[in-house]
Formats: sequence, C-alpha cells, structure tokens
Amino acid sequence: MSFILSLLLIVPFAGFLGILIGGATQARAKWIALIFSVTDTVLATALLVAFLVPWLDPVLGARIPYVSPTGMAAPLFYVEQYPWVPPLGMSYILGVDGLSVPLIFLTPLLGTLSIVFSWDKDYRPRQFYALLVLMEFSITGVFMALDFFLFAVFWEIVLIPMFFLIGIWGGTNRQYASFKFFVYTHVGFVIMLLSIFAMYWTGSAGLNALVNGTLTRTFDMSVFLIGATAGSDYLRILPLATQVPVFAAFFFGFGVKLPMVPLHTWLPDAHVEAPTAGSVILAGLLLKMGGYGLFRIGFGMLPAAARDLWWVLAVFGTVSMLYASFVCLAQTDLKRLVAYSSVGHMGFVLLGASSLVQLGIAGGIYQLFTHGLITAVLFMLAGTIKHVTGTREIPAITGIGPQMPQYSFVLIVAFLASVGLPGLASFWSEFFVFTGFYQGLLAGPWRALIVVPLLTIAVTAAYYVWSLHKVVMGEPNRALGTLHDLNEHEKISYTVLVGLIILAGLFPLPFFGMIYEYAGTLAGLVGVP
Amino acid sequence: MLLDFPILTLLLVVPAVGAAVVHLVGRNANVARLAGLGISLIPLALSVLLLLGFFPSSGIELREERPFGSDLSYRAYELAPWLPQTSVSYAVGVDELSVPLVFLTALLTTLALAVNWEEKHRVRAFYALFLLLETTIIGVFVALDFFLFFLFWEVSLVPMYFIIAVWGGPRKRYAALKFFFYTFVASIPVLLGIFVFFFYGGTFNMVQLIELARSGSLVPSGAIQNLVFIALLAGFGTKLPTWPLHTWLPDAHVEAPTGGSVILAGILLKLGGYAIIRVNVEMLPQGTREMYWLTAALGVISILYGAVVCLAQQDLKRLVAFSSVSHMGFVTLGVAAAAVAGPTPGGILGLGGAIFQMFAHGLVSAALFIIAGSMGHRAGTRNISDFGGIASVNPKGSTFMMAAFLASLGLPGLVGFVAELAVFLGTYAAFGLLVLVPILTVIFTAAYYIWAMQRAIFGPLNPRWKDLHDMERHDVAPLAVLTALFAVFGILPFLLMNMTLEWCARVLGAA
Repeated sequence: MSFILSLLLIVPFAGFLGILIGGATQARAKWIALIFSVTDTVLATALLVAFLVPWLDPVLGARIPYVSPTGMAAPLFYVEQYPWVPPLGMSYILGVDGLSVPLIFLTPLLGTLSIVFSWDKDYRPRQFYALLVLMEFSITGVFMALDFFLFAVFWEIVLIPMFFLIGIWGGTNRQYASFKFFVYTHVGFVIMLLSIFAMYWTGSAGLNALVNGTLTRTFDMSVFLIGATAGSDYLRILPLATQVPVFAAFFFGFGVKLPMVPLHTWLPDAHVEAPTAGSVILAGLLLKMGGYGLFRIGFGMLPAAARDLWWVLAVFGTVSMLYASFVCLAQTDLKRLVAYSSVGHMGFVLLGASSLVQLGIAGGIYQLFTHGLITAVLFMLAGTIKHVTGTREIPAITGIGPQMPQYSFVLIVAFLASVGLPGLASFWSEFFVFTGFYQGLLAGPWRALIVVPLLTIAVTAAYYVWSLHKVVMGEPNRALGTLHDLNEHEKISYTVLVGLIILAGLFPLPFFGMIYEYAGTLAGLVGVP
Repeated sequence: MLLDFPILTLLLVVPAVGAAVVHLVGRNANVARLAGLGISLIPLALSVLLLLGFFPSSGIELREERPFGSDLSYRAYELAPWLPQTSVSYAVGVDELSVPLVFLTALLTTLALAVNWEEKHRVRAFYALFLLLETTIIGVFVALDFFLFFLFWEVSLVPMYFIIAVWGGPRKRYAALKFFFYTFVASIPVLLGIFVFFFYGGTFNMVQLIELARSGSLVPSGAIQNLVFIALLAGFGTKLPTWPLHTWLPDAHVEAPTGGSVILAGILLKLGGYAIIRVNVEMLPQGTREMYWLTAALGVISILYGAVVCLAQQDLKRLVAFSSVSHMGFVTLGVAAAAVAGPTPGGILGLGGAIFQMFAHGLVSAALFIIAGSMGHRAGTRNISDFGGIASVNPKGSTFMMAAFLASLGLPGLVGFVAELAVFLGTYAAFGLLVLVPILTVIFTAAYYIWAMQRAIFGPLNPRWKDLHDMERHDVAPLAVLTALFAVFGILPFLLMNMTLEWCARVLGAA
C-alpha cells in the first residue's frame, strides 16, 4: 500500500513531539520546527508533482485510482486503508484527489512560511512552534481523511491548537476571541456530527454492501463517494428527503468555518486577536476546511440535495460578498479589513458551487487555493506594519511608501491580487466563478442577477485601492518617525508568496488542471436530476 | 521577406522585459533614460514591420490567416494553449483595425520617453512604468482571446495610476484615484459582456465569436443583444470617453505628467474606440444597428459639449483635454453612421472615418500635450491669457503650436480633416441634413483654437516673456516627427485609409 499520505501526517506529528522534547531554547525550538515543516513541504510538493507528471512514480508508487472490493472505481488516489475499530466500522483511511492535493500543498507551505515569519518569537517559543507544527498535522489530516470518524477527530484537533495560539499569544482581547472561536466552531462541529451519525445509521450499511460487499454500518467515506456515482441505486438508499436535512446540518457546520454570513461573527475577533502566524493559518487554511467539506461531503456525497439547494448557496454567497465588502469600506484597522475581506472572498466559493457546472465549481475550489495564498500575505503585512509602526490603523500609517518601499511593493501586489486584478492568481478563480454562475445549470432567468455579486468587485476595489492610496502615497505621518523596511525572514516569506501569486496568475494549469478534473466528477453528480 | 517569427509575442515581451532592465540598470538617471528610449525603439521597429506587412508592395510579408475558417483575415496570428480545459488560450493577431493603433502605441511611447527627459524624480521607475504600459496597451490591441483582452485592459490601469499619482501635478492623488475607480468600475459591464458571449458562443476566442456573430448565431437579437450592447458601450465608452462618462478625463489629463498625458490622450483613449468597433460592432451587429440612435446621440453630444466647454477654458492643458472629448465623439458618430447606412459607401466611410479619427487624434493630441507641457514647464503657467505674442521669442514653439492647433481644428491638408470629412460624409448618408449639427460645431472648435492662437502666439509681446527660452530639443524632435506625420497623412491619407476602408467594407458586409 502507498505510504506518502501517512508520511505527510507522521512528519509534522513527529515535529510536534520533537519540539516539545528538544526545544528547550528559542533557537532549538524554531530550527526543529523549520526542519520538520520544510520536510513536510517537500513531501507535499512531491504529492503535487505526482499528480502532474509520472516522474516520481518509482518512489511514490503509480498514481492509480482506487478500486473497491466489488470493482467500483473512484478517482481517489494513494489510498491507505487500515482497520481501526472494526466492530464500529471505523477505519484509518486516507486518500487524495484533485480537490485535496492543492490544499495539502498549501498547508505545510503556509506553515513553514509562518514559522519563518515568526522567527523572532520569544514568548514561550517551544509551545508556539510546536502548536504551529501540530496544526500542519491536523489540517492535513482533515484534507486526507476518508473515514468520517477520523475526519471528525482531525477536525477537532484543529480547533485546540488554534484556541491556544489565539488565547496565549494573541492581542489584548485574546481571551474573548479564543473562546468565541472555539465555541462557534465547536457548536458547528457538533451539528455536523448529527449529520455524520445520520449518514452512519441510515445509508452506510446499504452503501457498504454496494461498494464493499459487506452489509455492516461503516464510517468509511469512500462508500458514500463511490456510491454516489451509482445514480438511482444511491437515491434508493439515501433519498432526497434524507439528503436535504443531512446536507443542511453539514452546511451549517461548514458555513461557520467558511465562514458564511450570518455565521461569520467569530472571524473578525479571532483573526484580529490572533498572532500573525495564527491568522495566516486561520485564514489561509482553516477557512478552506469549510470549503473542502462543502465539496467533499456536501457535493460528493449528497449531490441530490446540493442540486436542489443550489439557490441557497447562491443567496448566501451573494450576501456574504455584499455584506463583507460594505463592512470593509468602514474599517480603519488593517487587520480587521483583511478579516472581513476574507468573508467576502469565501462568498465566491459558494457562488461557484451554486452554478452546478464544472467551470463554476472549479472556480470555487480554485478560489480556496488562491485566497489562501493571498490572505497569507495580507495578514503578514498587517503583522509587519504593527511591529514596525506600533499601529494597524490605516489613517495613522499614511505615506509610508518612501520609507518602506519593499513593504509597499508587497502591499500593492497583495491588495491588487485580492481585488482580483487579472495577471494575479485570484482573477482566474473569480472569473470562472462568474462565468460558471452565468451558465448555471438551474439558474434560468435568474442568471442576470449576476450583476449583484459583480458589483461587489467595485466595492472591493474601492476599499483596497483607497487604503493602498493612503498608505503608500498619502501625506507621510510625521508622528511615526523613522521606519525600517522588511527584515530578512519577512522577505523570504513575502518573496515565496508573491512569487506564487504571480506564477499562479500567469500559469494556473498545475493547480487548476486537477481541480477542473475533480470538478468534472462533481458536475457529473449534481448535473443529473 | 516573409516574417515567420512570433512578432506579436516579441512586441509584448520586449517592453515588459525592458521595464525590468531599465529598473535594474537605471540607478543613474541618464542610463535609465537612454536604456528606456533605446529599448522602446525595438517595438517601434517591429510595429513598422507589422504595418508594412499589410502592404504587399513593401516587400515585407505577413502570413494572412483565417483561423477557424473565419471570413475575416488576421495576420501574425499566434495561438497557444493556456488553460485548454476552459477554452482560454493565448491568441494574438492583428488586422487592419488594430495595426495602425499598434504602430501608434509604439511611436507615442518612444516620443513620450523623449519628452520625459527633464523628469528628475525617480527616473528609472518612471521610464519602466511607461514600458510596462506599452506592453499592456499593445496587448489589448492584439489580443484575440477575451480573457487575454480583459487581462491587458485591466492591467493597463495600474501603471497609468502610478504615473499620475507619483509624478503628476498638484492634484495628482485625486486625479489618479478618480481615473482608476472610474475605469475599473467601467470594466465590470465589460466582464458581464464576456460572460454573456461565453454563454452563447461556448468560447473565449474572439475570432470565433465574431464569426458566430456574423452568421447571427451569437447573442440572440432583440432585447438581450441591445442590453449587452448598452452595457458594453457604457464600459468601453467610459474609456473613449463619451459624454456623460467623460468626467474622469479632464482631471486625469491635466494632472498627469506630460508624457503620461501623451499616452493617456494619444493611445489609452483609443482602447475604448477600438473595443467598441472590435466588440460592439463586430460581435453585436444587430444591436449596433438597433441602438444607432443612442450611439449617434452620444457622439453628437460629446462633439458639441466638448467644443462648447473648450470655449470657456483658460488652462491650455484643460482645453486640450476637453477637445479630446469632443474629437472622440466623432468615433461614436462614425459608428452610428455605419450602423444606419450599412454596407454602402456612406456607411463604409463613416466607420472608416471613426477608425482614422483614432489614429489622427492620437497624433494630434500627443503633439498638443507636448506643447502644453513644454509651455507650462518653461513659463511656469499654462494660462492662455497670461501669454501674448510669444511668436517673436519662441519661433519654434509657436510654429509647432500653430501646426498642432490647425491640425486639431481640422484644417484641410492635415490629418484631422480627412477623418472628420469621412465621418461627416457617412453621417450625411445615414442621417441626411442632421449632419449640419456636428458640422456647425466645427465653428466652435475653430473658434477656441484661433482665439488661443491669437491670444498666446500673436499680438504684442507680453514683456513678461521676453526672455522665455524656446522649446527644448527633447520636445522639438517628437513634435517634428508628429507634425511631419500630420502632413503626410493629411495629404496622402490613402496610405492608411485604403486598407481601413477595405476592412470596413468587409466587416459591414459589402465585400
């Protein structure tokens, strides 16, 4: 059996233990963290490469689709399957496809860059770096798990380190923010658990028989993923009347994570109070778990419900985009502005999903990836300006262009990328979301309503370009004194991310190709009434 | 000699790479200027080759292609896959519509870099931005894939924003922001149009979409096509600019540095006109025909409004800015005339006049802004009333000023006349005696220019200017080139007009 996926879990977990054991000093802790995180990044890149070209097949094994015992094939790769608690139907199953691989690539990448960015963390560094690496472990686990129980375990393990990261190393209001974050996402999770149990009790036995040949209840997600391709057989076991409430509960849980207006209110506080590395992981990865879940479970396992409820996705997506962009206009704190803009950008994911066509779904999934890159830079920018000037208030940091040219350059690129300027990564995702939505399968006469989310682009441009204008080119604020530009490790993090944003903007194919392929399978599922 | 290499990709890559080169080697301002100017000569040479490729007698040959079996032909066509799953490709090519504009872009960029010689502040960034801008503008003209088209359309805003915001006049920040927001918001209806085209056509390739439109199988005619036409007219018309979407222009033009105004007025505005013809006219033919009244009204109002407002202007640069609004109205009017008159000689002249007006106005307004910038720099004021009788102390400057003013008011023998005459002939063919309305505005145009000349150049010398330096070399050389081109294309317009009119005939369905 292949081993690369387990390796992607073992390495960060070993890193976590290694830092706790060996990280007595700040220097030791951060170097151990960096070594394990870089190794993890290399492995994740290898996985990405394996999905593009066959060069690594001798090492990783051939990339062949998983075939169930009854001969049904699924586009899941590098599947590892070990029994865990057989009487309860829990197994240790991992598998990846075009949806998860870009996100798995993103995880240790952002983890490594946040470690590099936080190179000078001197308050309780051992625990800090250990928790960052633990997050790499748990987030990767969420993206790979193909057993519902395993998925749930990883999902919760994500919450705990983030709770501590915010609560211990965060800003002035960190206790409130960390508790709010934990309670919100935990409640969302508990509601999701209801759906998981519903799937376990109602459908899993029948599907297990269909896919694996054994009529026992199971938490195995692959029976649902593979079974969904069986068409009417699937609807017999999991009819629409069951799928809809199950989808709704999952949608609630993923909606809290994504986040979706009106379940988003944990996010501004959590993001603003988190330390920079925490915000980068939170915005860059945790939010993507919500999107991942929507596609993996909502679309992949409950396609009839997803098809029926497309308009719910469209409405919530549009509302998120509208509400968040207008709220951003009122923000003066740079970090809070970026936090709310994340809410708006995640609206695109819902809008793309609601289209029910391959292009729109692919755009929505790709938005997860591109937004992850861009928001990481944005939060790092907020962190830099705070430690250089002591404030994040936009009216106070005007005219820093001349004194901080490198910072200004990164700011310009990141802001324009977030606006969705063509030539930078997220234009592709936003463009395809809109193109797909206009082609929406069930959109009918409502497709003209695309003008509503389209206009939010103008509002987004307004708040970003206005802020950029003031910060880079405004009247210099004398009260700030002399400012120093980026330091060495900030430069590394920014260079990698800006480079990727530009590269993915010009050559999206390496990431988009596998996403588009995966979106095709989803479109095939939801396309049939 | 057959040009078999990817000339258009080179045209796009050289200025962009050149911008990076200028930034890297240009720590010393003079090195930056020379490197920038020198690099800009390469796309200029390439664009001349491109232009000659359309004239078989020149000896330069560009392969004529009809991609996807299209009716209309394109040259220097390149097609490479980009994101094949989504039918987004790298498709570039030129035809008789775009090639004069590509040449104009390369020419004006070189001239603008020459004019910028006296800029002392952050020279390497300044020159690099102009080269980057050149890539994005040429990109719009040569893109034959809508994704690529939109990419260049949007990205062209960024260098221009910085050119105005960093090197501009007293209200530069306000003007730059206004420019960016207006044109950015205006691109949203363009995006909507692209989605609609993809929905009905299944592709982003503009050649295919034009072919589908010509056979009536793109956007269904009637309400849908009319709505899309209006949306795209609003989006492209903001750039042209047409009244009432023109209000960003006076501030942007006045506050931009001289070289910036040269590019802004000389070529950036033509993006709007080009797009109206490439997209609205070619891809929404029924919409163009049915909405002729809107296009005609906007055109006439722009011509009239711009001219009347010019009469009230004291600032020379602001006068030229509003005259641009007026002159660009001819483009819209020409399109309307072609829409009504159709594939008749009148209609062909209307559309051909609109296209030639873009070329003509590009040359003339570039000259006008160089003059305005030079006057302002040397005299410290651009107020026309402040000047007086400078002909005696500034013979070179005054000559060029007079030539440019006369070209702008449409003196026969200079390039502006040909374009305006063609549009008027088309308008008469389409609308009969209503052509008298735009013709009479020629009186206003003549009025404000002659007043300005009289006030500034002739008459008794205002003693304040008795020591005014004449125009400097870096302004004279570009003006000499431009003035020569006014005369050449004014006396021998058929050099370009023949191929333009042939193209219009084919597009309108006459050939």
